[in-house]
Amino acid sequence: MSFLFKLGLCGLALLLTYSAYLDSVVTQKFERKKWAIPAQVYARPLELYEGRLLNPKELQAQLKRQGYQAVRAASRAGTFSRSGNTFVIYSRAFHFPDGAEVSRKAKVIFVGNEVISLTNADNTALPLLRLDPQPVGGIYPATYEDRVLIRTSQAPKYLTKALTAIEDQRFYEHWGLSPTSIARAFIVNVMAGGVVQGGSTLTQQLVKNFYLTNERTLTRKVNEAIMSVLLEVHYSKDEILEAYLNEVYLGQHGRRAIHGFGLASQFYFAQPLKELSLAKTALLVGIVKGPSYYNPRRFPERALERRNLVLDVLAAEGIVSQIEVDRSKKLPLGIVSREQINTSAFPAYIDMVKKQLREDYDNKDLTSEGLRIFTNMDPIIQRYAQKSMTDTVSALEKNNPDLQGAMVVTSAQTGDLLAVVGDKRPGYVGFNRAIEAQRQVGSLLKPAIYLTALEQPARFTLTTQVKDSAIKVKDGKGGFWEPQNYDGKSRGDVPLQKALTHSYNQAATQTGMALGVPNVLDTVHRLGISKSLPEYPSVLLGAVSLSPMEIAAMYQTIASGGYRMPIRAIEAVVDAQGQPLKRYNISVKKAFDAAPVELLRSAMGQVMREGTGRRAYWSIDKKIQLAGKTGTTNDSRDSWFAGFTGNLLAVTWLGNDDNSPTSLTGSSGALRVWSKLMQQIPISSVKSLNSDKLEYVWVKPATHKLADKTCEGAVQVPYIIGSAPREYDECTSPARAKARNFFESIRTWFE
Amino acid sequence: MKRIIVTVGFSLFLAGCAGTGPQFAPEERAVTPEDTAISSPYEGRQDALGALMDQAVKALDSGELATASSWLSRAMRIEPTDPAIYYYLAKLRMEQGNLIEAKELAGRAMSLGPEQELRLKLIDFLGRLG
Repeated sequence: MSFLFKLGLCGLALLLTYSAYLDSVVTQKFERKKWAIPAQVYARPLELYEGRLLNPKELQAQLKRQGYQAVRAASRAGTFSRSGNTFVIYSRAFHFPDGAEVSRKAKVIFVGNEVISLTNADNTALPLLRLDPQPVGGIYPATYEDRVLIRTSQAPKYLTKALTAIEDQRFYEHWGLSPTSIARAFIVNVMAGGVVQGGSTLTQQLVKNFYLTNERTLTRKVNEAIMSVLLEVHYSKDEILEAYLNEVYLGQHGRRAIHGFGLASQFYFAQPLKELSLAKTALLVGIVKGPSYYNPRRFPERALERRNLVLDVLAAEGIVSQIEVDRSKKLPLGIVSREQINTSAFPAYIDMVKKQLREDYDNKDLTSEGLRIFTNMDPIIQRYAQKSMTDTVSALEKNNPDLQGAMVVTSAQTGDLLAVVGDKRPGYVGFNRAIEAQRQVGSLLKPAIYLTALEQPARFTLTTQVKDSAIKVKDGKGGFWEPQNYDGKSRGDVPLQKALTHSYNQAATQTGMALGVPNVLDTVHRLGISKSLPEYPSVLLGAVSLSPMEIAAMYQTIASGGYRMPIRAIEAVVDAQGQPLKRYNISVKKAFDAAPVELLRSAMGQVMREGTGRRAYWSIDKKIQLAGKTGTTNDSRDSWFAGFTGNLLAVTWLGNDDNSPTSLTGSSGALRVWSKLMQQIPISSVKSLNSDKLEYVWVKPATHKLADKTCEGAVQVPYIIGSAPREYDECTSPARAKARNFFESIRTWFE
Repeated sequence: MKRIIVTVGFSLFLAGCAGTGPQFAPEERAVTPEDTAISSPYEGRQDALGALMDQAVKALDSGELATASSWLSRAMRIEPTDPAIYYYLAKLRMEQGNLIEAKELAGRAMSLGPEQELRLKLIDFLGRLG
């Protein structure tokens, strides 16, 4: 007897010690910051204003992607109505890095693809409407556990009531454990003819998720029971419930685990939790029991049945009126499609965001501190870019079964990174060709050769004749290099701009060698390629490997008129409390004088009008001025195009990952992707740069002589003042030539 | 506090109801557009760019540099080739003591073909930067 007593005493002591240990486990984790919150990444917000070019269909689609509900009359935040070309949008309030944007009810009227009127719903003036930004991804820890923290006060009206009614009716009464609940659940389940209620309390469920593993052992059950009671001793019901709302596992998205109602609401409905209707709230509560079994995307019928069961319980318990329940039961599930799940749909862009963030933040901070990252991604352009790539590659796959592609889109004037495509498959996570693929760039370096030339107006102008003839040079590796033209023909003397327009290899090599390879490479670096390149002559024809992102940086300098600017994925970072940590402002650095850059841009415009890029105008309005350059490498291993409009710059690449030949040139491959994007989104013309060093002169490029504008083949060409040809072409009428010569002599006399 | 007042002021302005909106305490009314001595060339503009620039210029004048920077960034997204935006951004950088960046931005403004008045301001600005 005394032995048993001693044993019992001993056991009690052990239990107490063990409980004390568990107690410290329970409190430590609960008191310290409870969860690691991955950084949330946002796209650039959609802004509407008079004059904004946007397809109304696109606006509607974007609103839906952001979980705005289409209704007959917008009466609360997160809804919109549309009647023909008129939208009424009730925007959500949102805290931006630059301050709070209030919720507004605005009227937007379109004519065609242009917003022609924007007012408040009461017709008072509204210069600008900024919507809440679309969340586009997160930066996850190794566990891929993701959540959006919420406060109990942010929960929709019936969430906690429904949750306790279904999962734990005596939540507010018990001490963590509830034998009567188990009994009651048993009866309810028998009467319902299936499992409606679970036996364990919310506290037990929280403990199980929060502290313990998923194994079904007796030890775990005992631990769970003790810890549940301990949790109840230390914390209030509201604290426990709030932790539960944020902890509970509610779904799986690839590797990413969806935790908490805040994120589940985004994941299933693309809506903030507090906007959820009764029916949607009931669905989430229903899913708690088995997120994969009741997965509403895979098993919609099962999920619907479960939701309606939850609704019935709410009516039976008198929490919601029968009428409201009946109405809610008729509603569809309202799940946004997988394709619509915004989060993680753009991994290629997120890669670039991470890359730029790692320069300033630890990985741990990014995956745990709840940072909010505001990016420059334009969700509409990003989608079109991916679609242009996916569609074009699938059209070309017949002859190139393993074809892959990458694309980078930026704002031509500011370097804001708008879209990144790293694979032909949308949403693909893995090798990101836009950043990681290092491919031979071919003719994409030719603009650097000619820019080097055009910076020396005394030697080179756009019409200066350059030699397109056979050339044999030491290759710098002990042998010789004899480049050929794409069609194998040499054309003799050709105007410089024509050599670029038609991408003649021999002319480019001749010009590059005349300038000196180091000088050309210096231009390449000034354009924005930072890595060092080998000083071999073959570099002139692009025998160097670069990524599409690096090419974008290089062409950005040309698109912006000679100003080098970093490509910026991130606009601002704020901490979990909404305090701005860092802004990534535009910075510019003049790398070239505007005049030679304008000459180069003019020639790159010719590439599009009559050269290797002319295919673009098959689908793009001829009134729009474009500029660009194609690139094709040996045996068509790489198909490149880099080009810009007045507002957008895009670099596209197609090729096989194993570097095997394709059937594509830059024009028949990459340019098609580029054109497909540009024809679908609003673009403006490339405008001539403002420079007082330029004059426009009528010449005949083929002879590099001045010409009357009536002469056959005469065109107006920009020259740096003083560098235009002086001789007149023979087509110019003698009288005019004489008059001109007279004025010319007066002019030179004054000079 | 200033930041809040400016935000409130702008909200009022956006709502187009500076006169008819909710009543504010006198000290908060002190910064509504009609009461301030600051002159912004964009005063009263009802278009998106004008409204953003008006806020930017006022924020810049009252030394709210971070706020001004935000307004200018937003304006630039709407009109990335407006030389005036780069000019005010250059002034902002100068206020922040970043003279090199100020000079670059003013140069960029110049390259975008400013109107005569702005051109003269830019020449003066660049002259002062040396």
